Amino acid sequence: MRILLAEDDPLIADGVAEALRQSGLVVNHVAGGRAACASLLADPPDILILDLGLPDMDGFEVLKYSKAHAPATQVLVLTARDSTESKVRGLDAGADDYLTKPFARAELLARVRVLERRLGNAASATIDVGPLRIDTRNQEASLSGEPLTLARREYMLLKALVESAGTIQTRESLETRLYGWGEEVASNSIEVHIHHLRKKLPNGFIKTLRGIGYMVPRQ
Amino acid sequence: MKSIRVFLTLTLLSVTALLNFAAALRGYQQGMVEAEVLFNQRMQQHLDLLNFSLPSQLKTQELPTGGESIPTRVLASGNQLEFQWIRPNGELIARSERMPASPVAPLESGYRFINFAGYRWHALVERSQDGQSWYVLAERDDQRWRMAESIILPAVYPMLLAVPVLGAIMWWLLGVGLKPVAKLAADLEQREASDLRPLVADNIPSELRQLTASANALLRRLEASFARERRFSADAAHELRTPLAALRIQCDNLAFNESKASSQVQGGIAKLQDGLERLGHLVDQILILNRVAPDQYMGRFEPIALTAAVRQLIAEQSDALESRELDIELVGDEAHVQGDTFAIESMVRNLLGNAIKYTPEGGSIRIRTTDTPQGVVLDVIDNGVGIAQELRDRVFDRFYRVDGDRNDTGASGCGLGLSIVKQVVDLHGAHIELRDSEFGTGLCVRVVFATSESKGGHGNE
Repeated sequence: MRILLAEDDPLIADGVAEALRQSGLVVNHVAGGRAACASLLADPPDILILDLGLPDMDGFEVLKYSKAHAPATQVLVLTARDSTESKVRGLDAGADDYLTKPFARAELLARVRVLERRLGNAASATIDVGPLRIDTRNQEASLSGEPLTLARREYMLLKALVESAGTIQTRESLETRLYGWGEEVASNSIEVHIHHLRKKLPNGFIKTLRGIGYMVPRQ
Repeated sequence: MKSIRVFLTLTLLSVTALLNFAAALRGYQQGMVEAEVLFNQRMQQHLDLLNFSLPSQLKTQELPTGGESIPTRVLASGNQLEFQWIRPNGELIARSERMPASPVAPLESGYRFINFAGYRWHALVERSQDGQSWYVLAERDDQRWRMAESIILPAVYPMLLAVPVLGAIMWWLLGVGLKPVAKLAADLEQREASDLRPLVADNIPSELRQLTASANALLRRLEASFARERRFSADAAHELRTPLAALRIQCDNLAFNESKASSQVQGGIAKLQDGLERLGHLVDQILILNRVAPDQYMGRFEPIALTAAVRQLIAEQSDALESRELDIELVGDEAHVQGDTFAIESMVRNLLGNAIKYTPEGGSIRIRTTDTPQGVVLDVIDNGVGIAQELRDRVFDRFYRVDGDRNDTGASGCGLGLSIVKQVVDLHGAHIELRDSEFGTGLCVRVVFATSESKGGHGNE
């Protein structure tokens, strides 16, 4: 997995590169927007970690360039500006994820892992939570080695919950994951799918938070 | 002066009414003088008529002496003219019915006032053409006045009656004339606090051009200073967070690399990480506080799905909720408010953060959003330590922390959370109240967004 890191602050760049290398990733560092564009064009990386505040070029321009010339590259944007506006703008411009400075090493590595999985890397195609294993490549799930029979939406729902184990998933975010834009969603459809899933899973595997959503606790 | 329109209408109307009244009075007086002349002329004419006919009748002895039967109606038209025909020795030759039998006036030629029969009279005394007798013609003064007034007043009344009509017309015309001012005022009034676009300068009357130009210059200066302020905030955020981010990642790497070091080293690193975390939090809170200050606010209000936003913000706190084994629930209605997304999210994040921080492990948090006719009510209720009644006013002060830097819950913070909450509440013209928790212990923070009131966001700190 090759990562291009575009960050002008040497101390941050050094720390991020070290953290990534320690997780077995190959990191190529550039300190400016033009160098980043050149590198994107010459040898597109799997993941671009892009600081929006580069000195020689607007970060959004680099983002656009990346989407145009290296569409397969996943982009994780770093920024020191917290306004929701620039966050939305970044995601609109094609950023795959977003991290506000300062961030913890664990947070950074978790985000990179999610992007890795999205790229279909073999090493991270399965997700394990307790006795449950999800094989994202074959879209299969198994419980203690026994295959589970899941309807398509049940699988998607379980994957969404398991992918973010330990994090509450709101009703709204699950609905957007499961249904396309403009698709009619029955008000209780998530509840119905959860009900079916629960019958196939160990007791207490999916936790309900009244009025908020659901969560698969980390095990 | 409350209103130019009222002022102008009232003053113009008063002046007009006064002038009108003066003109009417003058017209009336002038008319009365004219009438006097006219009536006197009429008397003279009647006298000439008498003078023409009577002496010859006397010569031909057609008149009986004592002349009681001389017709008087000839001389009467509307108001009566009375007359006496008198010999120079004072003996009456003839008189009209209502005249007494003796001369009513001294026998000297000319006009004069006389009094008899309980009235005041205008009298004309003149010698006949043959010099053998005198005529006295008399007209009642009150009748003369009444007659004169009946002619003059109809000409004067319209002037007075015109005043209210004139007032209405003035009011309307001034309204039309002042419309550009009203439009300018409405233009400024309807503006959001953040709207600093210049006022439209074309098609306005010359009187307002200078005002508009000045206002526009002011708006330009304001916008420039706001832009400077915004840039400074953004730059400050960037400049503060970049070194913090460097320290954080380096410190985390150090912790990873030294995972086999002595517990003393590891403890030191952990404290360093904790300190950096708090510093990061402080920087965030100061920047948020600066951004949601009502007098700095430059955003735009939009409809916000409050309950959905709360749900999302709770999800963001999953780690803290899980690690402290807190029981959290969101109840009530799906409520919506008008507001600034960043500000509202910052407020909820702080309220939620406080509830998590000050609720002991295994405690309960309940968040309720209620859509009432009076507005949307947000309750954040916990069963934590609560805040003593007498301290509830102080907790909104900046950097104030109950029981100093660390209270018995062991929770740490920078003391800006509730200041941020208060500013957001003010920004939205909402209302905040600290109440007793329905759990028995703990605190309920209630924020009420009043319906359709103070959308402009001019709260006061």
